Amino acid sequence: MQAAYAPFISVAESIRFEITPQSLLPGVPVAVKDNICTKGMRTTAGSKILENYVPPFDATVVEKAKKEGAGIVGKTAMDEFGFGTFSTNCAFGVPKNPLDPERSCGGSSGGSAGAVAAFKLPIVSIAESTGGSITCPAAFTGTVGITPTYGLVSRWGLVDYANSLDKIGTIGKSVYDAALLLSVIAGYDEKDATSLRTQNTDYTAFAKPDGKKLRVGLPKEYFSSAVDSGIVKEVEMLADRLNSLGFELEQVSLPSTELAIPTYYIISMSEASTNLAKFSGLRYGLQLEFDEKQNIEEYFTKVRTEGFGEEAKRRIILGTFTRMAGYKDRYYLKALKIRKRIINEFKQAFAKVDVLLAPAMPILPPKFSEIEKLEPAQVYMMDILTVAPNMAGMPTVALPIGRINGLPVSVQVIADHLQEGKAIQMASIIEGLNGR
Amino acid sequence: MDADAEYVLQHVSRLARLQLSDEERQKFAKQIRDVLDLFNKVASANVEGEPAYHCIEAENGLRPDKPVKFDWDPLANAKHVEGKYIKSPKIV
Repeated sequence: MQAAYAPFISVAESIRFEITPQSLLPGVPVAVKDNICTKGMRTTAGSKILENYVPPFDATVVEKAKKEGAGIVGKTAMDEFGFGTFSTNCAFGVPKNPLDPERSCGGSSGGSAGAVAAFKLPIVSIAESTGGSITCPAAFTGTVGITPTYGLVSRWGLVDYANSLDKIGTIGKSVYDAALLLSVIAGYDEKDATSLRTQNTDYTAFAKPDGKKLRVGLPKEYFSSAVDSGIVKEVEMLADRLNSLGFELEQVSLPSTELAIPTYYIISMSEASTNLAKFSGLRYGLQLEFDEKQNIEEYFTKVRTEGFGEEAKRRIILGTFTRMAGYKDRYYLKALKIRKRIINEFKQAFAKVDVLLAPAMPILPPKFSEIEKLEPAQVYMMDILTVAPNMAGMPTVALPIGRINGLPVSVQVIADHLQEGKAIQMASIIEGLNGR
Repeated sequence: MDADAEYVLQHVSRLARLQLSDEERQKFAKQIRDVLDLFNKVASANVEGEPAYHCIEAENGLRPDKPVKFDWDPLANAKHVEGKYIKSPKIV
């Protein structure tokens, strides 16, 4: 599978399972996105600057999975630091879509979704999303991805992209699988200052439809002409079916969606540009030789120039600009104000409905030959349906609902903060309609 | 917005401590201009109110101020180490 689809950057040489009769993941193979630290196992975040980085510790989520009897099978391919939508910005190989190797797995957690789709094993993945990096690859590979509420899952041991946006989540072959792994990795962690003080929850309890009829909102901006008409049609057919089954459906509006992409990219690039300053070439990562004549400025510049890939450089430059004195009010602060508006619009919608239902991605998985022709600004537009819920920190479940020409069509179910139970429940009902 | 794109490439890349090759500079010029066009939609939007630095209200998550022992070596990945110190190029 690795030879055919390259989902991994590193593969475990041996796997150790610590199983007890109480283990929640006894002997379960878990693939981990390569920006999440694994003790003794190379963690590159898809970047040349971390090519030889071997963490001396496990991220909290990895420690939790191992404690429940899981084994880490490998580290999955991703866009450098999560900077991408197709996993093509990876310094160590590009994962291919197991449904059609000429097409992308999506990004940035492409390898995480690819591994789940490729293996005929009960494999699950720990993935991470900043602006849609779980929903996108889950949609392109026909797998199930859960992006939790911001702060529900500890980020300790994550190679950060944008601290106010990063969320570690799960990808599985079914809603149940993804919910089970979420139950294991979620929960308060004192090592992460943004970790929410929540109670341990068994999310699989929500993955069993109980006949309850949730109120479903359809955000009209997510059914616009920017979305492939075939995808819109499939989602509308699903909505009709839910309606005929007695679910209350209501059209809602999220008017700030039109500004979501530039708002997201300003915030995420601003944060990324400060975040990546930690790669100073001194404590870990790429470390070059230097002599007595060289000063720290020259050294720092050389390490960054050699270590970062093209998209990382573009984002650092743009993110430095948007938070500079003289420009900060115009770009960064304004984007944060729009973000507030986006959060409020979601809150207003959730005062009326339990969940929102929308297409997950505006396109079907594209071919690599098509991706090559896209300019960065065109690639960013692909995130139109995912950046707003991600910026608002709302939990989302992405799952497949059908196929067009053999390629998966997926929806996303979005719920209010800490209401992953509702999103999982709705996703499970939809999954049931498709014969699982 | 051309002036801004040029400014970003020439001046900001230096502030960001990145040395761009001629090839990168050429390639980035149009790309950065396109992204700035996108960003200017935010700049020209009429929006008031509070900024959202965080997406969810949460209490301050500071842990108790007490010493904690690392069970791993913080210098495990450092290359230029002398004793328990990291050697750096000259600062001044």
